[in-house]
Amino acid sequence: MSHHGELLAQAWHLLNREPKHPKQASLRRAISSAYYAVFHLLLDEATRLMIPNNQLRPLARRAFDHGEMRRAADLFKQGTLPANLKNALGSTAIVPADLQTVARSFSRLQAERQTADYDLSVSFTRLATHGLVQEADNTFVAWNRVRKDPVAESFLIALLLVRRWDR
Amino acid sequence: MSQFEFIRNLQAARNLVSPWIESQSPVPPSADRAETYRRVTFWLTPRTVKGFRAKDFASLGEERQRELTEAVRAFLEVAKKVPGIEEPTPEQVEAALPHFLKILQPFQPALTEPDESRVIDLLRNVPLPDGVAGLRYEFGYLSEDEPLVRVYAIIDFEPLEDWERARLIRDRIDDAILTSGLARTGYALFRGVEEERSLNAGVLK
Repeated sequence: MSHHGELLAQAWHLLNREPKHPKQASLRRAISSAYYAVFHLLLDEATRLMIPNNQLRPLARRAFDHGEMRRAADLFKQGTLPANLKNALGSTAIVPADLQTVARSFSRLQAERQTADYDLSVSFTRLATHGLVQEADNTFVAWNRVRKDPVAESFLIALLLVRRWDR
Repeated sequence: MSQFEFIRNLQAARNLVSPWIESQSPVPPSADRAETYRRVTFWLTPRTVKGFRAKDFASLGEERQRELTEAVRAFLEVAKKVPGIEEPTPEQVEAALPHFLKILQPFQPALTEPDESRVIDLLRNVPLPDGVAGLRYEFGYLSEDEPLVRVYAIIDFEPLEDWERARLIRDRIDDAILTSGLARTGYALFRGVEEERSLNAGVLK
């Protein structure tokens, strides 16, 4: 199984570990795993797209930054393409609904991962965690449907380059 | 930085009693805030006033600055005696609560976000399907310059059994925030009715 697949499976496992009285630690780690599952899925796809040499891919993965990736996701989740991409892909290009799902999911999961890992004043419940793990799961499905779309490919590139495009 | 940290910690304490937007079911809205602080006691920790430096609050005037400093000192005196992994005793809560409320008082404008009424209006107008008992929201920050609103949809069904409905609820709240023009990130999360009751009762930690 892929690394991202294992992380998603781990998120489900942690969510269901104590079905009646889940421990905060299990819920927090489930959220963290759900986020990293999506994070690594996108990294895997982005580096496969951009780096043909599979020996070099692990090095390229380290160039991605969580904050920049969220910035890219925040752009795409609104459903309208940034002007530079519209110019490149054609004025009729739109953000497919599945890609919006992926972008929204990435933003939410990242924010909640940060809270889960660092903010002990917030209590997580089973349902909130369930919603997030399910969302990560759906993101895998949505991504598989949309991954060949040119706009989805531009999203992968944006995950790495969005800040530089703003220059 | 320290002042920001202090306000943020206070806000986190206040968020423990986040506001209730609407109710279509018998889940009770939080009663009197002080009463809720008696039941939900996460705030009784030194962390609540972490970052406090009296000199940051000279603008309050000498007398209020002195009162604030004294309230923080008295609050800390109690908070430091609460073992980190145990519940405070009712006596400790009663000893700390007046100081905590006094600390919160001058910061109500800062703790009340300028766009709070917009958020409330927005959430009141989200068309939601059956199964949502109410909404709660809490403010926070993703980083110092990225304000956040986290909205809890209190639902009375299992998302796994009806994910389409759950997703519709989540997406409608997300869409409302996304298209509102609010200068903050925001999104929906789920919470069960029973979980809400447990949290209100201070059971779920």
